[in-house]
Amino acid sequence: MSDKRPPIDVNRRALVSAFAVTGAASLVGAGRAAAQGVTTSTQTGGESSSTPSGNIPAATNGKPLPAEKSSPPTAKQMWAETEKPAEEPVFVGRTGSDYMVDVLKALDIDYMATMPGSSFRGLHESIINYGENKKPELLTCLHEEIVVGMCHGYAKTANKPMAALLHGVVGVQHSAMAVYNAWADRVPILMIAGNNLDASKRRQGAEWEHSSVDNGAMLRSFTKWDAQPVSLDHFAESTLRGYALAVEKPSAPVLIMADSELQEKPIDAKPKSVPGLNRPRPPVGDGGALAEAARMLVNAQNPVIIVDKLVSTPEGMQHLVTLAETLQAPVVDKYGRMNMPNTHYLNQTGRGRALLHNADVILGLELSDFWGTVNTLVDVVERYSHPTANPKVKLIGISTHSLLIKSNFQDFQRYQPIDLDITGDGQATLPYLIEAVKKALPSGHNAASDGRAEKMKAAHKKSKEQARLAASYGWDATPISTARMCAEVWPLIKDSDWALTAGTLNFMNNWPLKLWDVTKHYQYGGGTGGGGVGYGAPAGIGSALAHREHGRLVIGMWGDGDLMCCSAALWTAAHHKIPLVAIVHNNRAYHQELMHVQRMANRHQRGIDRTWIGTTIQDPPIDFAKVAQGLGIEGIGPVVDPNDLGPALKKAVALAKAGEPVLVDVVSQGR
Amino acid sequence: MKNYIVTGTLSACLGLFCLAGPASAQNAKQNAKPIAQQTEGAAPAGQKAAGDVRKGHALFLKDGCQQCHGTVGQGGGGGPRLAPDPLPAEAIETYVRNPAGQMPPFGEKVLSHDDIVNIHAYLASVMPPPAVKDIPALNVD
Repeated sequence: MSDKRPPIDVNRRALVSAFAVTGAASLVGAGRAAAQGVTTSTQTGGESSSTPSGNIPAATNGKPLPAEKSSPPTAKQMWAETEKPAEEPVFVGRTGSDYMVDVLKALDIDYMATMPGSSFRGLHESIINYGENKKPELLTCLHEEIVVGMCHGYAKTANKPMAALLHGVVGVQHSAMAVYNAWADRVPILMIAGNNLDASKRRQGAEWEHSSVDNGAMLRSFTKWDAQPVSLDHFAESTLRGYALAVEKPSAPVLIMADSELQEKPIDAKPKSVPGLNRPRPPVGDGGALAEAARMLVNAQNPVIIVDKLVSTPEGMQHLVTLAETLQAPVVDKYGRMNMPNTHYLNQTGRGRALLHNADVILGLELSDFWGTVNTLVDVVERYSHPTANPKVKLIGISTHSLLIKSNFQDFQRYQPIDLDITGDGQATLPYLIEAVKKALPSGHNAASDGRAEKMKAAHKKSKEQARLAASYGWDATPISTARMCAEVWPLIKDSDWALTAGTLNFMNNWPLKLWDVTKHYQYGGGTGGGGVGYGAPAGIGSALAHREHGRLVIGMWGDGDLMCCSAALWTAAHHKIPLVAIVHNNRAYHQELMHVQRMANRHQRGIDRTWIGTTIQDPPIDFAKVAQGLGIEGIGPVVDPNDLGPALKKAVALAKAGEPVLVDVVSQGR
Repeated sequence: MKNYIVTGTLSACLGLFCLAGPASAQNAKQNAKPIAQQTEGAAPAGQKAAGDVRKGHALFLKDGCQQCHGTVGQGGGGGPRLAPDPLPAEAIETYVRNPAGQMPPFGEKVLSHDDIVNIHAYLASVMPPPAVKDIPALNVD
């Protein structure tokens, strides 16, 4: 990306300025050399000469003559070069990019993350000056994957989108994996990317390399919509439409191109109005179908509710609790979001497998993978699958999953026949389903549900005791057990308004969700969505940004391999003063992949002695505390001795409470 | 770019099989030394079992058991707890030769009968953890 270095501007104004300092003749040569291959025509005191750029005398071996050996310009030449042609404006008032800022302000977006790029220089300048760097405030990132990853984490926490500002072509390409994660996780992001549509207005070189006739094509398989507006009115309408589409359930990222000519062309000083924003209501399940679902649930002996990417508001969590209590049905939380308080006796996630096996009716709410919920595929030489639920179980699904499926990428999972498949946003549909269930109960309760409450309370208590006992095994082991790594955090945060952010918690055996009391929807936002490594730090810092205005204590738990993909996100946390405690689950390996290679080696009976090759990160081991310090945040560790863990975490929590980001490197159990 | 597609499946399926015995007898105090150090040499407080504890410990680490089952067999996201109080060596051998779930099979060319006996000896030597009531971090309400 050559134009992300300090620009070598060879246009006329730069040459004119330079002339005044070092002399015309030498700079004409230097400028031409930089322009490489472009024929320029220079007026010199009424004389015209046309010279191929880079046409340097052979005697110089291709190098421009030293400046001191060039002939100084005559007064006439100086006058000609420094005189501003009357028809070429030097200054402008408002430009299209100012209006683009007006459009962004109409969306009430708080933050816009970016890595700078020349294709949006006009918009960049308008945001920080015309827009006074407020709503949106620009956040500086060091990679576009971090830009979009931050937006991903922020949106899940704030329940509103953040914007990304991307460089044309190369910036969009860098962003791709993070966009895919957000797409698969059904998270809204408004992405604006620069472009230079008019080929006759592109500077030679980078502006061609960073322009595209269809930037959206690169992301179209995993964005909801994209547009390449060709006028400011078009930009306004596309951005408003895109925002509404991104937010509308099922949510997903959208991409709007901001043409550089539109950004930089002058516009009238008179304010230009911005159209109103549509705010679509989420789709709700059909009333007749909900009544049928209610009858099935009320008449079931062993109904089970299983939830995934369902809850995004406190009301949503309360509605799920109400539904479960009304039915006295256990809830199994797949933790795509924090759906059901884990302190509630009907959160029976720890018993999920047995409950699903015995269920006669299963209600799935916003499941990403219904097939994988009631079946499993065994990873052996000849793969086979088998049901994990009762083959006679009746399935009810309420979700928007089928409304956003595209052909290429297969994140939509395997097809599952569902007895009653209701299209509608699960969270928005819950109040209607609760009403339907209440109507279906003859006198407010039924015999089956009456008998379940005490049994569920006892099972819930037992699950918690079992989790604590399980966490005690290996308590003093080195490397530090994942259970201890998580358990030691809880006493330090339990009296604070806290939140957890993590990529793939099951790499840590989901210990925080077993050992901590998680009672609010914002305390955990689920995982990566698309499984792309490099989610943890950017999304965690984006989430922490959303928590910051509430003064919450944020704990990030990230894998070492995941962190190294986007470790530069730590600098953004330092630069923008986003407090959090980042705990590195440092198992010094791409552990999942290590196990896959071990599986292959065992399958061939070749032993696993060499499976560390290409999978481990231990020679040399990465010193994450130093990485953090180099990026401007406090780094603690490596913590090797389990007895050092508590004090290290205590120090980190104190720093985060004081408003600082801090990292703790914990050398820990594989998984 | 990598992905995590099978993570949940591996965890869920390996979680079906608990290869250690009941936990009721395992709450004894343990000193502060890392268990990996405690368990080297003669079995100090766990079961006495046939086999060589030291060799078994080395094999447990070398052959990748700890990757899923934890450094001292405590269990983890990839596999269930194996120690303390492991199942009999015969049961372990039967399972690892032909696992029913997602665990990779270990044939005799990779893991001999004697290796398994030694690993079992190591697992049997692992001391019980501290009692839950004696771990402050696990007693916070």
